[in-house]
Order: sequence, then structure tokens, then C-alpha cells
Amino acid sequence: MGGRLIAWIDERFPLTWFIRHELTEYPTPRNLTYWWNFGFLAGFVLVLQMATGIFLAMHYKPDAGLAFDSVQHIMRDVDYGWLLRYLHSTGASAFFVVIYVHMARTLYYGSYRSPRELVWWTGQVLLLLLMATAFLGYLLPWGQMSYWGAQVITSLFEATPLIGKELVVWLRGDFVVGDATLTRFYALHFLFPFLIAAVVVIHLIALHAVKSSNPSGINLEAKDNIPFHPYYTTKDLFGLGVFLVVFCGFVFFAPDFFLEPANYEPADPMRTPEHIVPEWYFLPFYAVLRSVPDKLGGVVAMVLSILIFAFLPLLDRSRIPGGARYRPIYRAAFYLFVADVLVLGWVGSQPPEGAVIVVGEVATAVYFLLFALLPVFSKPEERWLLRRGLPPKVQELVEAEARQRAAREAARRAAEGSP
Amino acid sequence: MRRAALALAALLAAVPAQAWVASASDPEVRAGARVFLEQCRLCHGLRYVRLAELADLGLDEAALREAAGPEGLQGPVAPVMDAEAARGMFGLVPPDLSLIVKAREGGRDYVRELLLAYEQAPDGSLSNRLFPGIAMPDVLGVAGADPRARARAEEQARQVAAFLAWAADPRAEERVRLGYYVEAYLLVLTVLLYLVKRRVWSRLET
Repeated sequence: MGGRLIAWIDERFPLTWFIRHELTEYPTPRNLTYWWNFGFLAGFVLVLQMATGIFLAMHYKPDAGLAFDSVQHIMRDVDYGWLLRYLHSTGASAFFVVIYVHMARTLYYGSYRSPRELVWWTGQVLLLLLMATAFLGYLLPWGQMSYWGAQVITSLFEATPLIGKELVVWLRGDFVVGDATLTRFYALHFLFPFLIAAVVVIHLIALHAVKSSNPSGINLEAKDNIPFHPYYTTKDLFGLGVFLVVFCGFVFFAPDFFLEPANYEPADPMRTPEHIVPEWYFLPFYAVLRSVPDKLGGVVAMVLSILIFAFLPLLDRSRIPGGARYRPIYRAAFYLFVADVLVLGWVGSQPPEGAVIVVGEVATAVYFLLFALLPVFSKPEERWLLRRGLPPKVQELVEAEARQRAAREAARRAAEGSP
Repeated sequence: MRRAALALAALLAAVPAQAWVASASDPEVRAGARVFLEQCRLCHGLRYVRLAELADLGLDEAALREAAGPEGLQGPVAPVMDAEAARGMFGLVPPDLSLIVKAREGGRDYVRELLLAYEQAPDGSLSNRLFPGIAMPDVLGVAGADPRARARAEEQARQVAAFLAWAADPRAEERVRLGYYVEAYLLVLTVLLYLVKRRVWSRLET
């Protein structure tokens, strides 16, 4: 019966083919470490956020007069409302933890290199969508930090030349953040996750076309690839278990860990909090914004500090695969970059006074310098490493790629020569 | 396996939820509710707490009914003094305290210490170490109190802080209790998933 049903479907829809192609026969390098779990975890958190979000939306009121009360209604009166809300608020932070680790792995192993540029660029789009969704969602509890955070971030658009003021009013729907802003942020916060889900599909199609990178940086032979299911489904599920143990520790025992106390006071447009800080996951970029004295310059620097990741496949000129694994200078740059981002995060959390300003300026300069120096040092590093000798397989790969490039070049020249 | 499950259950029973959060069954919370109704409620309300919930804490229902407004016990804990009178007396409307423990860095300890931070200056004027210029009077009579009165004030401050911690998060006890079971379940599940993963991967020749 089941077999006949499947056969009936298969005549009309490639169900079995799809499961084989994407799961049971999808070739995955067998040497992936647990750092390769985080993409799956990000997918899990996306589903968790959408599931809890739908149920929160059934009880939440996107109205400036009711929003704060409705969150307390969810926390106190709705059955397991506190669980939904804490899963959702902790889930937002978990999403960024997972995504930042996912990105750090890509940077460390150079997974953005050819031929995976489109995986990396669709990931960049996902990062922007995630940041937008988190920012929109943070206004909804309508607490003091929600309100003033949105006020500060929307006012950044004032720096747009010519139409700045009009643009801000258009975005807010009012001259200040108010009821109109809350309602539209709610509508968009509901919409964006569906866009994210769509881009995730594109991200996965791009990934499945070029297959996963792996810690060796070498394209493994067929015998070193194993089917995704059951090997990586079981490995990912075990990783998910570990993730959930930590995640639920926060949800059940320290749910306010990622929340600002000031956000437990209702939004008050007449009273500015002493110290406005964005959520922790925006702090490094916020520090970049504040470290540039000019307003427009600061906004440009902040946007660039996020978008600059997209340029990595172009900035990195080394032909040596495997990223930091075989490249000592790149590895040093990677660790310096991670440390620098942590310093920027600390700077973003502090009031901008005295030494904090200087540290912020230095850390911002280091941030951009590391990207700027990548095209400068990657070629000499490559030459040095080739002279010094690489593991035979890596050497082979680099030479094979060079041969391919030369052959392509020759073919192109031959085609041009005989019109 | 069974022994491990029993050990886990014993561990769960040994860790009381009260160690983490303000529990509705804690006598300190109940005592704090009484102090709140007698003293704090003159000026401060708890808009997210219903009087009926205080009855559930073990407060006398008849007394609560007397304090109730038109909505009866289903109404919120409203301040005795209305906003206008308070503004006339203190120059501002005293804040609602439902979420004060969550809204302040330091939470419950901050509330307790603030209540005890009143001092009498040599010229007889009253001040608060933690909140200079506070409009709230020294309700517990801390400034210039003799050791016995001081001890009494400290006890009441602790009780009120415990009560307000409960009021800010009345589901905390339920949350922590459920948390132990969730974590126990997840730990067992994760160990099982690890074993499954190992068994599946053992099929690969090395």
C-alpha cells in the first residue's frame, strides 16, 4: 500500500528522487567537525522562532496603549505564555550566537572561497534579514529600551543626503517613534521570517550545488564522502541536544540574562534613559558607528562593517585552500579579528567617555585594516607557503587549479585568435 | 540505566525551587504582602497583580475584599491615594511596583537596600544614600532607629523585597520546577542521541 502510494506520487512529483538526492545519497565530506553543525542549528532556531512567534502573535496587541500590558498578560495569564515568550526572547539571542559561530567557521576555514561565493552571499543576505527582524521585534515589548533603541536607530536614516528627514518620518509613520511605528514594525516583524525562510531555501540550493566545504580544504574523493543521512542527521541531532541543554538552561533558570532591566519599564517618550544600549548582538557595529565622529561617516562605517563580509571572496587572493588551517598569517588575522570584535562589543556596551572612545577608534581601525590588508598579504603569503612546501594533497590541488586556469586562459586566447 | 534515572530523580527532589526564585509558598513572601498592603499600598499599586492572587498567597480574604474596588477581588492591587493627591503631596505619581524587581539592576537586593538606605543628616534632614532626592519618605523608620527597630525594619525590607520579586514574576517557581524536568529529559535524550550517532558512524570503515 505504502509502496504503491509512493509510486503514484513519484510519477507526478520527484519525491523519492528528492529524498535520495538531498539526503540519503547527498555526498557530505566525512571529516566535518562539530563546527559544521551550526547551519543546522540556525535552521532549528528559525523554526523555533516562527513557531513561538505565531503563538505569541495570538495574544500580543501591537498598539502603543496595549503592547506592554499584553506582554505581561502573556507572561502571567496565558497558559505557558511565559514559556513561549522566554523561548522567543532567548531564541533571538541564540540565533545570533549560532549565526556568529557559523560565520566564524566560514572565515576560519575559508569556506567563502570559490566555488562557494553564492553560498556566502546568500548567507550575507540572511544576516541582514536576521538583523532587521531582530531590530523590528525588539520594539514590540514597548519597554523603555525598545522605544529609545528604535528612536536612535531610526534617526540614523537622517544621515541620508537630501531626503534624510523625510525618510525618517516615512519609516516611523510619525515624527517620533509612536503607535504608527509599532504597528508597522509588527507587520514587518511578522513578514520577514518568511523572507528568511525563502532565502534559506536558496542558500541550501546553492550549498547543494557546490557541496559542503571541509576542514582539509581539499575536494575529497568519492570514497571520503558519506551520505548526509544517516551520518549527519544523527550527528546534527546530537549537536542539537547539546545546544538545547544550554539553551533551556537560560530559558528556565536565567531568562532575563539577555534582557535589559530598563525594558521592564513601559516606553515613555518624555523620559530618555541615561544610557541607551542596543541588544548585545548589535554592540560591535554600534561601537563602529560611535567611533566615527561624523554622523554620515559613522552610519556608512557601520553599514560597511556588516557588508564588508561579502567582499571576502574578492579580497582574499590566496589560492591555498583550507583557510586558516594551512595559512599562519591568515590564521593570526582571524584570531585578531575575533578579539577585535569582542573588544568592539565591550566598547559598544560602555558610555562613550574617555578611554572607551580611544579604544573604540583603535578597534574600528583594526577592524577595517584587517579587511584592507587581506588582498595585500594573501599573495606574498601564498608564495611563501608554496616555497616552504604544503601537504602533498594541498600542493596537488593548488597546482591542478593553476593548470585548469592556464588551460582556460589558453582556450580563451585561441578562441579570440581565430575569429 | 534505571539506577541513573533514580539518582537523577533524587537530585531533582533535593534542589528546591525556592533557592532560585520567590515562591508563593514562602512565608517571607506572604509577610511581605502584608507589609505592602499596610504601608506601600498607600501610594503604590501593583497593576498586574489581582487581589485574588494575594488571597491565594494566604492573605485574609475579608480584609482584601474591604480594600477592593468595584471589580472586587478580580481587580488589581490599586493604590489608596489617587494620582492627583499624590502629585500634590510628592510632586509626582508614585510608580507602579509590579515589575520593579525586574526593572532595576540588582533586582530584589536593590529594593531591600533602597528601603534601608535612609539616613538622618546632622541638621535633621532626611536623605537616601542610594537615591538622593527620592520623594518617598522613610516608611520603615530606618533613619536614627535603635538596634531593635533597625532589626525589625531590616526584616520588613527583606519581606517586601521578596514579595515584590514574586509579584514581578509569579510564574518563576513553575518555570524553575519545569526547568529541572526539561533539563533531565534533555540530558538523557542527548546521551541517547550520542549513542545513536556513535553506532551509526561505527558502520564506516576507518
